[in-house]
Amino acid sequence: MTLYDSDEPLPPDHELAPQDLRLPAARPEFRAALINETARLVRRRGRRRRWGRAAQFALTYAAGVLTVLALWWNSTTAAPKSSEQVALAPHVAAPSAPVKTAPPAVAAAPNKQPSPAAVDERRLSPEQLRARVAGAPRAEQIRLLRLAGDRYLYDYEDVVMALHCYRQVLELDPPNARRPFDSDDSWLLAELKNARVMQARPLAQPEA
Amino acid sequence: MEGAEPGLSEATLRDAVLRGDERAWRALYADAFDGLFAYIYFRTGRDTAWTEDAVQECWLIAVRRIAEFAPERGPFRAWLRGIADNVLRNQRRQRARLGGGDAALEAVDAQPGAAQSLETSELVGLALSGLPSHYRDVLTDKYADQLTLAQIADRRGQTPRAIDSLLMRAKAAFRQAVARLSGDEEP
Repeated sequence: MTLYDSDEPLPPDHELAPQDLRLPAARPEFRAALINETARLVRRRGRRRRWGRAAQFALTYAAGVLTVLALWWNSTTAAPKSSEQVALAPHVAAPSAPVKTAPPAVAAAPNKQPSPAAVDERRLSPEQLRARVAGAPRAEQIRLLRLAGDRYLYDYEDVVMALHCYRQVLELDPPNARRPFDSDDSWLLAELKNARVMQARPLAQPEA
Repeated sequence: MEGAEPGLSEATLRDAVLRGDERAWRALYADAFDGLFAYIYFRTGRDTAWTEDAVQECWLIAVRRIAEFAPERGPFRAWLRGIADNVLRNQRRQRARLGGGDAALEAVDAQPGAAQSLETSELVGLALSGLPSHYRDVLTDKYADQLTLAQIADRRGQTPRAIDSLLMRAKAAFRQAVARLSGDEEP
């Protein structure tokens, strides 16, 4: 039996048996097992690639968030730092000294801040609030010190600094215009006000 | 070379495999498996166990190094044959160290141009195994299954004219492969 076409014989130039043109076939189970094994490696490559991209995305996102946080932190802390340090110095040296005893530091502080009114006080640290006290009208000083005290107490859990601020609030508050208890008072300020009332009472009782 | 834009297609499949696309890998595997198996089968002197061992190693290497496959330098099956040659060479050394002397080892050393000693069936098998799968299939249909052009066309859903053209190109490629293996033509 010849396999050659009449016009186009196949080499080599002699007769071929049909089985010569039939290639050996692999066992189906071997073929299937091998494709499964290699396909598993391809899938793993895909998973690695996806995880790599996800990790890359997460890192990029985290870097972006950290950058924004760092910028925000710098904008809120870096600018008023110098005036803040100057304003804080007398308090650190003599905690009981009233704020109005430090006028030189006060004058510089408002000038260094571009527009204090425009800055949201909620973003300011207690130190920054205290830096604004000097040079402000008395009512504003009281408000700022009280706000700083609240911030120390609730945000930083710094009772000592909160006490220092509240004492200044009470010192600045004129005796003839002492404010009554306020529903917005912190527990520490309310206690200080209560103590002041209790101190005043024994003097009044003998007269009564 | 042969076939319809095989380089473009294989480049696309390779990129898909690198992205982890299992279907692309299965497509490459399905197209090249039979040819590689037959090639190794004849190179190992028809040793089935050795063939399976070498084929497995070849595919595992291929899947790990698929990024190195450059379609512009040649078809996927040629790249696989390069891997197979290296694998067989290494395995031959290992077998020789383990006390070879196996007559089949000589077949492994048979390179294109030194295949005169091969039997006709081996020569034909090696030549066929190096052809694109659509060439190999049409030659098998025609000469092994002895189908007519009309029957092949019917089986493949193509016109007899298209099959005739395909068969012409397949025979030309086959002749070229045989000549290369016989050392009558430079690769």
